[in-house]
Amino acid sequence: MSFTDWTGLSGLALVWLLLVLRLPLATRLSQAKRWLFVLVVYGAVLLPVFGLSLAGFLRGLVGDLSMPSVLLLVAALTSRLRQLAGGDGAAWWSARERGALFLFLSVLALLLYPFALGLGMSDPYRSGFGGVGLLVMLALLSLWSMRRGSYLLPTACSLAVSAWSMGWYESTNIWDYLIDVPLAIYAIVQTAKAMLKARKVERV
Amino acid sequence: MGKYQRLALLAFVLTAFSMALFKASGWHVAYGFRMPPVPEVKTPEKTVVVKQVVVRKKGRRQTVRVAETVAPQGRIDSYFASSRFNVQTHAASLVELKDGRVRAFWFSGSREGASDVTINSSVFDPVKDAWSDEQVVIGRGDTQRGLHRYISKVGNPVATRAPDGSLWMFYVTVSLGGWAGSSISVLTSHDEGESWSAPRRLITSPFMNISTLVKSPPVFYSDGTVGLPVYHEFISKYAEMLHLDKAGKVIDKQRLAAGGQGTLQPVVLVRNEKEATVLTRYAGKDETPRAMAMTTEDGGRRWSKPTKSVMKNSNAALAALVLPDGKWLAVFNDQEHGRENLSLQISGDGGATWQELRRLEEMSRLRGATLDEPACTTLVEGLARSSDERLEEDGQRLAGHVESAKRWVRSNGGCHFEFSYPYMIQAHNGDIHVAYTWNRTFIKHVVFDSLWLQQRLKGGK
Repeated sequence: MSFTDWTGLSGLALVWLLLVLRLPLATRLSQAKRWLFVLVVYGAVLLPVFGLSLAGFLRGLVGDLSMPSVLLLVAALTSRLRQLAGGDGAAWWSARERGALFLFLSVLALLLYPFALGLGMSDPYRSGFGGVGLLVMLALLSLWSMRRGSYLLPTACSLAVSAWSMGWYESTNIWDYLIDVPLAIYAIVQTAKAMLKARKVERV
Repeated sequence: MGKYQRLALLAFVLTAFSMALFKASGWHVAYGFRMPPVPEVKTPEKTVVVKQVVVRKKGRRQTVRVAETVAPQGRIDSYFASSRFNVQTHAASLVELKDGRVRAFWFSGSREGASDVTINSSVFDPVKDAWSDEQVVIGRGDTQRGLHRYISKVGNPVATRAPDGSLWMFYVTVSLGGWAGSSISVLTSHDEGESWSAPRRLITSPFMNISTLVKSPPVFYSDGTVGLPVYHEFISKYAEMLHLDKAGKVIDKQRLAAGGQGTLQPVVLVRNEKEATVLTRYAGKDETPRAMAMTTEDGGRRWSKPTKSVMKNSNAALAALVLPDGKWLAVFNDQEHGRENLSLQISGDGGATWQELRRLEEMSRLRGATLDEPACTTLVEGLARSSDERLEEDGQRLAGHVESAKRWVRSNGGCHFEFSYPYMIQAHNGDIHVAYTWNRTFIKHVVFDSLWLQQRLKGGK
């Protein structure tokens, strides 16, 4: 198994792990057994059965997860584990921080996917092959976000470009480290919900 | 977030973007095409034939020996490259091996898209004048294991010589849905196709990496990097060019036409370092369908908008190449609907006009005709015999070919023929090799030499 297979599958294993930790069984385990359970499940979803692991099955359908997805999954997993341990399970970041990231990802998705799927002649995906312009834009946005007191978005962007620099995944394109389809759908739904909620509050 | 955490994050952001900008500064895409090597065509020498002629001399019959010079004849021959019976077979490609043999690839299985479909290969040896038995290169299971992800089907193999001299074989894999959900993977061989590496995935699309398909031979850029003509089918259909570095990693993707213009399966015709034309299958709704054409005059940096060529196109793949003298040679279905004929044509004016050299297949007369089984069987048998005369010596093999072909030809109860997906290369000795799908059951191979081409151009038989 190559390095990029391992990194891709490891990210996707987090999805299965989060799902399994939602099962009632996870709540009944003691703290020590729960950690053992997490390790066993993580290993099990990576173990090929008849040539294919559960993480591999998911990889065939959605591809490797972007770094913001991995970051949000790790955050959700740690919150869930804290909750199972009797803690409050509070999210790593505030709703405002997450809202800013989801808005950013929604805009990215709307700028990327329709054009990458054939609308017109320009393909924004092309800008992700070593595109200095895209990197400068992301750097400026990250610094501007930090100045405004928002830290999740610059963390996600910096993780994405670091992973791209290191060749973390098979992809040579920055866009694949920044956003993926399931995350884009989730971000658009969350942004729409937040906007509707804000309008309701305004009316009241 | 505390002051030190903010400083740590700032340091991380600055380091991350500095690393990325450093990496991006080394990114470079070259344009300008590398011309393929000129074939070394050996002109056949005139042969001297000694004949015994009866003459009358002083009223007496005498036999004298006369030496006569005979002009060499061009050669054209055809074979079946695939040999499995009772399977569906499609999408052939060819690559010349270092010793002058030609290796073909195609996919075959119980039906197109089935999970038992494998990529198969065999080798044509011009000295032995025969194809080897076919061997399986890779199937769905091995691809799945090698790529560490779910794969439902494989198809469309295209092989080429890599910049380091090894062989690359690109092929499409699908995880979800139909061919529109395809991604491209690549295998490498360092022993001319006898054994292959594990597959490696090319990531070419941000949308779950779906809908990039390959069908046609790559071109090379001036710096040795590779241009792989590909196409997109999900939601809209359009041609693209992948730019791969010498290690086969994707470094750029260029759109050759916008979505909705129905340009599929691009074939690149390189005229010189700066100029090239792309011809594509047309998958639009025009009532007089023609292959589409795009041109570049700056080595592939920019491409013109697609225009209608004069080549009829029934939403079918075509094959084309540029001969050393600059003429274009093409194989395509010369009809607006269906794939019942296949024509070899030449153009001396950059595709403005075409002259037919030979009708490789012609069954379009039977379109819509109702034939009973015996009549259809007779036709299939005749076609099989004329496609590979070696079948005459092996009645069992001939019967196998006929029965296999009938499964497709009579699949809808009628007598429907299909000749499609041509692929063409010119070997180093100047011979032209054409491979195509023969009634979805076999891969047919036609080979002719430069002399045959010259003689056809002069109007010879």
